[in-house]
Amino acid sequence: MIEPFFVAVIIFLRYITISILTFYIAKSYHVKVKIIIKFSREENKMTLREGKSGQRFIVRAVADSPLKNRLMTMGLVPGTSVTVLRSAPLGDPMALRVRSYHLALRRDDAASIEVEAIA
Amino acid sequence: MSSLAVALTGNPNTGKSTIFNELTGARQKIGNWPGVTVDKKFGYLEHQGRHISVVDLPGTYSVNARSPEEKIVIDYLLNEKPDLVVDVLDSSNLERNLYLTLQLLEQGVPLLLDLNMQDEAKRHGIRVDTEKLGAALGMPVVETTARSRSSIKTLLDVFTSTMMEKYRPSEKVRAHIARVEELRASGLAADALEEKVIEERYAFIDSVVSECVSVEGTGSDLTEKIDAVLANGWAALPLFLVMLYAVFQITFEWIGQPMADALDDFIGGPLTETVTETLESWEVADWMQSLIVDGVIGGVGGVLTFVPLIFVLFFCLSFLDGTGYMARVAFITDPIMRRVGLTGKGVMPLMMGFGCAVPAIMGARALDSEKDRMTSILVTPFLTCGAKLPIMALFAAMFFPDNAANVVFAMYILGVLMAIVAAKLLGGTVFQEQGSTFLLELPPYRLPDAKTVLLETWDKCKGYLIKAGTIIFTMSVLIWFLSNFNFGGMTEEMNESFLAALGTGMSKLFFFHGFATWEAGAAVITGILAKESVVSTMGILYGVGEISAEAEDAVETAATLMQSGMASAFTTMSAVAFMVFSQLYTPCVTALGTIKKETGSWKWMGFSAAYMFAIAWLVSLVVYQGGRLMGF
Repeated sequence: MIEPFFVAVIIFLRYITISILTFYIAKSYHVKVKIIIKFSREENKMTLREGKSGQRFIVRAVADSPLKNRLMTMGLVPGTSVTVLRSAPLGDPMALRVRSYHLALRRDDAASIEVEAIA
Repeated sequence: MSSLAVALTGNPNTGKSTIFNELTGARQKIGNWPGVTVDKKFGYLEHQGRHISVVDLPGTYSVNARSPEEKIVIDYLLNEKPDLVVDVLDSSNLERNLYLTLQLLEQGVPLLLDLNMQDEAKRHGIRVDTEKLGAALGMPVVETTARSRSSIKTLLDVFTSTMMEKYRPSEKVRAHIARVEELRASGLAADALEEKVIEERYAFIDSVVSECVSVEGTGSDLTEKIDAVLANGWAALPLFLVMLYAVFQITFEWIGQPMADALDDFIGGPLTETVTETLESWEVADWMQSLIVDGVIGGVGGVLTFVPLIFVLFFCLSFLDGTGYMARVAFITDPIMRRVGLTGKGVMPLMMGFGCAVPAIMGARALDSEKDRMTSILVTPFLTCGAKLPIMALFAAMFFPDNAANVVFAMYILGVLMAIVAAKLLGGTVFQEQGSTFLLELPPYRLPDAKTVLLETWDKCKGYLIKAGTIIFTMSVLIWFLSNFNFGGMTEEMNESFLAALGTGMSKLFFFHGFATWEAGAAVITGILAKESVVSTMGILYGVGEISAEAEDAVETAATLMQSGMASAFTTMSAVAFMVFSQLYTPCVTALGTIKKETGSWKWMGFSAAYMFAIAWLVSLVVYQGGRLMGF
């Protein structure tokens, strides 16, 4: 019985097509769903959302969000260093190294973490 | 003989469950914490003449009582006051692990610190000074390497020899607690206070760690190297498909299916024969024989043949979970799953849905937001489970002999599409205001502990077996009764039975669907009891007697049925409508029972049964009438 495999392939091909379409449609209309950026861009503050693979940051603050407590409990408190390890397909979620373990996080959720880049 | 109550606590992925399994082995029980769908694991053992009871508390990162698991941990420790609380720590990841430790110490819970995964820490060049750590916290410390017999022996010796009363939190811990008290008394707003307290805790932990942990060289990070391949961007998806393919092959081709076939042969052959002979030699009444052989053995046996498939599928998934790969699967599929209204963590439960919806629905427990969990539970039954496959295979072989495989495949796709549409709809309506988040630890890759994988697999199969013994047993007796009796008593003619009457009633609903025959109506009804019975009902009702419900035999079965009245009862288009309906309608009672258990609500169970029936009815109506308009 080989059907389940084909099904899996088709599901994923479909998912991928949908994802790409959604991504570009959203992009072309400048739609961004549910962004919780609490730090305004005028102040030129950077959040972990913009982090790219290989970059290192120091956490400066964690903005109010439903996740705040969990993020801090998991060790993302001000002063902690964070390395962006890699991203999932489409760049989101991202994998981080925090306090000697690895944590995966969606970029929308990472937007509540204010950071400062370090060399 | 004095007894000793031990509780195991700690973060997820610290090897806590492995220690529990090594300690208690098969002498463990899994129950439920009252009122929640969280497993309660406990076991017993004896060591040096002492009777030791061990509770494996759910793995948590903290005890803020925000999730049911966290509430269970703190309530248990504060109310039950076990003699010994073991805090299992991952030595290579002390910083985050010590957070829970510190929180528990703040609550006045004395702890035996178990530095686990010592071998792994050493490979990473991490050295923890046990004595300094013990002194810094004022608590006893023991080192273990889970899975090693000598470690477990050491741990047991420590259990029986440690007098927790002798230990008091260190000066340093007491100073920390005083600072926290001070903060709490300072009148800060709740949010700001909690933030300060968390920062205070990490400040304390940082100072302890800098005192007790030394890192010599980074060592080679194997996890990092594997992740660069298995969890990195687009390339990770094809590799996931290969992994998935392997799991399906093992389950449905190499190991699971042959086991299932053997069991099926045994139940249908020797077992049925022996029981029939025995009953005859005892001169048991005919109706009783019929009830036992056709009803109970036929019904329960049909479900039991799925057990090997589920066992193998679960074994594979538990194994992959034990290696840490499942967390990566959630990570790499989240971008796709999120866009269809689900979450990456839901991929594995959904994949189980192609085998059986029951474990798939139970698997949704692992999802952390209520929205994701409910959506996953409600859309899983749309997928083509192992019991629906024979229906599709049979109809495709009968009405599309040249394109059977493509038609079956189209039905799989239809199920997936409906699951996506339903997830989108539910997300946009019922669960609109609820958010979804994704916060997931990616644990280091490890070779899973065989005992843990087997116990986990067994635990999941056990649930299914119990259901086979209760719900399916009852339903089998009921179907047997309905198809063999009418108001005049027992009847030989099935088309005079209660089932025929019910089928006629049900068939009224399908007047515009092209399959308004009582036989189809009856098949729809028995299909709610178990999808496996749709094909066998058809076979019995169209008078061809015993037919195989195996997908592999679909072509032969189709040839037999073509000779019967079935070929004329359906047109090509109404056959398609029937397949579509079967693919999408109400889940079987076992799945419904699981939905009731997992959601804790009759309302959601009823909703699931009703909305799937409605969607199936509508879609198959559109397919049939649409097809006729287009001239098929």
